[in-house]
Amino acid sequence: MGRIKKYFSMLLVLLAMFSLIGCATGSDKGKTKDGKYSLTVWYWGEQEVPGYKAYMEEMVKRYEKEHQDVKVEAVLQESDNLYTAFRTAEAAGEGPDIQYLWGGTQALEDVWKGNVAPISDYLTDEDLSIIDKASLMETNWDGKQWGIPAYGFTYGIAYDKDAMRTAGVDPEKPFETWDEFMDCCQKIKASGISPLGMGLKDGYLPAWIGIFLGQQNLDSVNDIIDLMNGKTSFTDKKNSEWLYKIQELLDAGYINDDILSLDFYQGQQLIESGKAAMTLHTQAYAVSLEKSKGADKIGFAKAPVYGNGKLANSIASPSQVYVIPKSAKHKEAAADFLLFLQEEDNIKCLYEMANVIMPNVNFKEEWLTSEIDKQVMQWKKEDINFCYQLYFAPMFESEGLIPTVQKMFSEDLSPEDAAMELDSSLQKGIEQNPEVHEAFMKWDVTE
Amino acid sequence: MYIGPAFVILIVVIIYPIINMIYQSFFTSIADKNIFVGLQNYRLALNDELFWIALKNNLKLFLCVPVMTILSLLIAAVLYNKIWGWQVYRSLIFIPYILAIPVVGIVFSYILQYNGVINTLLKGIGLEKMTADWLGNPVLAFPSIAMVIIWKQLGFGVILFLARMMSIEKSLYESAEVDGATWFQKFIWITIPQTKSIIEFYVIITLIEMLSWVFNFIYVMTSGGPGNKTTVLEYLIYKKSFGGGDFNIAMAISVMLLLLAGILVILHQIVLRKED
Repeated sequence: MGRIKKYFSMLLVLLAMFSLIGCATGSDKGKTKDGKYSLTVWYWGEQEVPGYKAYMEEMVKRYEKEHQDVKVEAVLQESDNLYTAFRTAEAAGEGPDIQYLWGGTQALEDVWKGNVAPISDYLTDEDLSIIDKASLMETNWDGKQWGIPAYGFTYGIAYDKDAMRTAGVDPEKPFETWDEFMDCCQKIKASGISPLGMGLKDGYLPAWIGIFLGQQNLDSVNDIIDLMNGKTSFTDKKNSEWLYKIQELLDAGYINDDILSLDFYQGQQLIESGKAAMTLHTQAYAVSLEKSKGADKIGFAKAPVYGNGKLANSIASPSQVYVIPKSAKHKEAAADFLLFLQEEDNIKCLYEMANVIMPNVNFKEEWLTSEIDKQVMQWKKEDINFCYQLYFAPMFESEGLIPTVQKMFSEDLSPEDAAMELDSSLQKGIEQNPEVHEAFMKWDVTE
Repeated sequence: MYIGPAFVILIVVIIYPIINMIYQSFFTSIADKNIFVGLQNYRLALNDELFWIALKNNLKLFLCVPVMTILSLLIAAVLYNKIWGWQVYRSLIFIPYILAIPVVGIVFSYILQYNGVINTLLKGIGLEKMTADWLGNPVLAFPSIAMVIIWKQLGFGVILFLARMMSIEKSLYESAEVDGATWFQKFIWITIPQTKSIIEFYVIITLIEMLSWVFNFIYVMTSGGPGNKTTVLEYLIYKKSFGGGDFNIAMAISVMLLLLAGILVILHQIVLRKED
């Protein structure tokens, strides 16, 4: 009996210790040993914007210097973990203070799932007035602002100028229309290397192809919202002609033969290893190549035009965003840090270190040093900014677009059948997530 | 009292999460609301073609079990005869088992790439016609993963069976030899009956593994592709919950996977009791 009592009291002592430890962690949560507030930032970007990690470390240093009572812990996330880690942490109520998300519905989906706090509750209209309105609209929903740009970037086709020269294509103006593009590919193929280098294994590529080609028959943002809502269909060639363009490239053998074996970034790197002449890339990455290899080696082109919609000539120049998670412990401090990133010196630093342009009215065109950036800035002035992927319905990419495009490459799925599969994936998304779909329907995009 | 702390840990770490998962599978969460929806998540999961593709793939993986069992038994029987260098072979066969799955997955992803090591070798020896996109071809992707799983897991069976064989009475083999039995006859009539209980244990454990332990291979090697051809239930749960944020549907699928694994565990217990 005495022994039982002894063990029972030991158990009680242990439980009490655990409780005390729990209380201590609870009350001091977010505070470091030296009494500073700890602000946790989970970010991404180095993968598409080389130099972003160094920029973030610089920002942390600058912010901590100005705010002696704050310790910023910035943690770079892997592509695969960006959403999974955030959603898991949020489900446990243990999210960071600031979370990086990809723009458009990729950020709003977590708003609709209740994982995000409105940033406009912590920043005034005046604070937000320095940010480009189009960029803010990408994460504005139900009258509130949910995200603030981490940076803006432009999609394009990065190409090897030497490969163009060898193939007999003008490296300064390789193509504008689809026919010119196909002609360029044919010449490159004849010169002995793969015209396009891409990787489809991990599934990021289909959305990228959509960004380049998907919008070309559309006239407005509402066209794609109607498509995603099931009001119109992919079986209408207006919405699916881009799938036929993929088929054309495939049939002509203009894509690397190991596309199904390679991850997205491995496919992009084929241009660096000289195994492909062109790849889909961001302007930031192209600029980093331009800086390392020289402006006479790397070029950057807009998507070739085949469509006849008002958006045929558009460029995709979206923003990735920062949000404040619902479970964030220091929401005001998080908003303050995000506003700090928008200060003129800091947006200049972002450009200098990571080659990306903050969609901020204080960004100065004279800061631009790269030929590619100057060209992109010119496109932005001339063309409509529209990014197809920003308006994907929840689950559309993972459950529909990725497997469908993979099947086009691996199982010879025809564009007609692919269009039908995309329609059914949208229907499945609506059925499985009626509440999220309802929220999506409420999304009013000002054109 | 002695098992008290272990029991508390068991409740906190295993029993509570399972009960919570079953409970949550009857709800749907949107923003801060948790709405009771009855069996809707189960209906949605069962109506999803992907669920059936994933289940079929798990069942296909069951085919690895007889292959692994027979190969392990044969290799163990050969090693049991203490052929020259058997200890080295034993270690070599066991090494893949102790390697981390992500490491194995990544290495084999490179080896099996269309322009990877295997195809380069095949081209080098003039067998270009045999080259294939081992992980990108919808027909070959799943068997390729199955081969990697077999390669990785084989060592466990070999060591298990060899340990049991070492404890078989030598006199049984000696009397068989006196009667003029061949190696194969001894294997069939002595080794297999004597290792029967271990074989049963191994088969059931490996079946459970094929049902609920192959996520890492799929995640690293194919991400469920191409075109969902290599998706298994575990990967589907991951994709639904952390990829799509459909935690409740994922929980419904988890409950169904738990039931399937539970059936195998019960079977395991029945076999163990029968042996006792």
